[in-house]
Amino acid sequence: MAAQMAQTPQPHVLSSWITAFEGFDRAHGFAVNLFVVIALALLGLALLAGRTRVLPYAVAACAVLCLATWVLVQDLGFFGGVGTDPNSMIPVLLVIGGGYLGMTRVPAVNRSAAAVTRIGTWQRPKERLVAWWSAVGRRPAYLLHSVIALGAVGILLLGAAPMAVASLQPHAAPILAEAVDGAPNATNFVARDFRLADQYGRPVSLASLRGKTVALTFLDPVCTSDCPLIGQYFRQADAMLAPSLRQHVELVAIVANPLYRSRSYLLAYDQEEGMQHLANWLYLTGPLQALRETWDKYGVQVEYEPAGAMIGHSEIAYVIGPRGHVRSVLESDPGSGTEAQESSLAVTLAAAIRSAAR
Amino acid sequence: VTMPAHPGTTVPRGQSPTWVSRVATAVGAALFAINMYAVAASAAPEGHVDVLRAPLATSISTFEGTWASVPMGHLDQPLNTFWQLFFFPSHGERWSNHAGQLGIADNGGLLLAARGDRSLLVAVRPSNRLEFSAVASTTDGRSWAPVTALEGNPLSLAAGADGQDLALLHEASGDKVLTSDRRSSSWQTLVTAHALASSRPGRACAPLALTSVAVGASGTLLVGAACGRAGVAGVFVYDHGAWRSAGPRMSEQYGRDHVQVLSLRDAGSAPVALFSVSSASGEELVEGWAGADGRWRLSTGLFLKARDLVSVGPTPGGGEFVVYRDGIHRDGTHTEKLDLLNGPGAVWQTMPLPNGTATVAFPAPGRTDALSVNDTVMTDWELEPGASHWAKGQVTHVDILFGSSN
Repeated sequence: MAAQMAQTPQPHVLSSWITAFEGFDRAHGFAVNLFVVIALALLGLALLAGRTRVLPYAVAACAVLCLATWVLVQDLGFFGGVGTDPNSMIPVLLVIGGGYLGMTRVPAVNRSAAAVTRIGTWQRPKERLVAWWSAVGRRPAYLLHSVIALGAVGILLLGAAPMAVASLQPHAAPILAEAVDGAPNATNFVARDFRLADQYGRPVSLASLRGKTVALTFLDPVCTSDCPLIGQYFRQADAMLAPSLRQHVELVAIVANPLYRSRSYLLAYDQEEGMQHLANWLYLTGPLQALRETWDKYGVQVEYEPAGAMIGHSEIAYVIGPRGHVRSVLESDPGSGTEAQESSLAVTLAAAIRSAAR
Repeated sequence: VTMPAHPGTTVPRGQSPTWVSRVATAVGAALFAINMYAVAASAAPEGHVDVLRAPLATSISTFEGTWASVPMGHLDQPLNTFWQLFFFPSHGERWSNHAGQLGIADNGGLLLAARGDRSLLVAVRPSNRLEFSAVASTTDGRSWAPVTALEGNPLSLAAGADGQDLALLHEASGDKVLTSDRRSSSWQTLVTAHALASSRPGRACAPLALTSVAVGASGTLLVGAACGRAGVAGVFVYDHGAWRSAGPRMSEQYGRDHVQVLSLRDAGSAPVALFSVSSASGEELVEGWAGADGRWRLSTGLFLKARDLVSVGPTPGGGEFVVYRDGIHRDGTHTEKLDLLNGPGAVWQTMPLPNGTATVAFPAPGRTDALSVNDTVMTDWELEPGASHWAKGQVTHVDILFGSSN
């Protein structure tokens, strides 16, 4: 991660820090890992033990560790990388700080009131509100603490909790897919025709599929990362369709590699991903010129990448209705490729197919 | 646990309940133990490995020029290790990189084979989520022609002048050798490790695994093996629909040692093999050349562990070069050395190499190049005829897309 961050254009002073740390980490990876593990274990013990003499030092050490990670690995959170990782150290630091305040600034117990304020003892909401308001009146900063605490809980509930719940669902809601790819774009324009051949050598054109709902995407058969996952979520989406609808749906992929586009590669991909068992799966290829024209018609970029990297191509899916109109355009980046993520993409695609079939 | 009866007043919490400390200590100790176990397991030696494989880094020459395949990038991270394919034209002056024209992520490594004298056949070993191998051929690196996909993970690749290709594929059920020719659009199984082991010549060898393949100039198909029977070397020839052992008969000094074929090729009309010989006292490499009469001539032994090999390949004189690790610097980088055997009857010649040498190549008559790699930089070191020191030559910065295979 540090190496990737260091390659991002940024002031030299920052990249030099990260590069230096990355070099040190490469040379002494075991020692760095050992140090971090021991430090985290000790800090965890110190925080959990809750000894007031130790806590300030533990929190200070946590702050140093978090800030060092934020600067040397996460590149200050905004110069490099995408997603939520690059800034994770700051919320962690805030949580630790909040925990420290919670542990050290515990109010003295009013013994006389303890009997009625024990947890598990019924206290009316109104009484709680009065007690809270009284506390705010005595110490206005308490209001700020309460607002921050409520805000933290709100962020957790609004952001992380639904994602976490969705991640645990075998048939996740579209939320995971939309977090990576955005919502499908509902459209209504005429799909451009193409004339290619399927993996068995049979000629196929879009016109020949008129009357069926077509889920169309572009796949590199020798892609090592995303394309196998895209095939899988197409397969899952197919399984989510009612049998009566499935017989009027075609899942179509057009090869997105200018070199490995022969039938042997398409069949190898089908076998690898188990696509050969789908009756409505077509993987199309053709002469390079015909492929280039089709890529252009659908705005798909396919290009060689340098130095042993895979072919770069757009990850996009079109859902075309029975009358030949594009009804939905979906970004089809499979993201992390987890089971829940794939399931979420499949739910999204299946919903788009059902909508287009109406 | 109490509610804040007087929020304005703060006092130290004091001692926490003992169960918290105990649980925290137990969790911490468990995590620490798990991590230490993982670290120890990853750092532990691999243990006894029966079957040795030749390293992928190598160089070969065709009529059009010299090809070299080397790993670059972050070599400790498989998906950030990208194999590069450098080409030095026969009448050129510089190395150029053609890995970008392969059209596939090549983190799994490249297998090279010369198709006669003119073209190069390359198999890209699968990596990450890909489970089959892309194959393509070229003469100059600029234009490529795809060859039928290999459905599996190839360990060795060979090509004949008449267009017949041979591949050794690794499968969980056992290795197998596939063959294909230009008229065929598919690979056909020639023999499985099990079938070869069951054959009469196979029983004499008791192969633990098949290790390499070669195609002779006359279309002869050769398979090398790691023999389980001591003192036997496993080179097999496919002849008129049947397999026969091509030897060699190892000398008495190797009678109790296990012999494995590390690499196999055809030099003109007879096989040439690099053997790894393992005994209780150590390992050594022995080169063997088969004569027209079927008798083999063996080189003297080169004492080094096959696990230390960085690169092996042919020399222009029909011999073998061997690049291996011979020490380690304080910063963790290795010292490499080169041993050259220039043909039958020659003796191993040892010479130092520039740091980070991944392979050596012979791009011009009398000239030896050491291709040294460090992350994204390839430095070509030249050793001109008669010179005693490597001279720094071309420096190539490779534009690696780190993270693109994740």
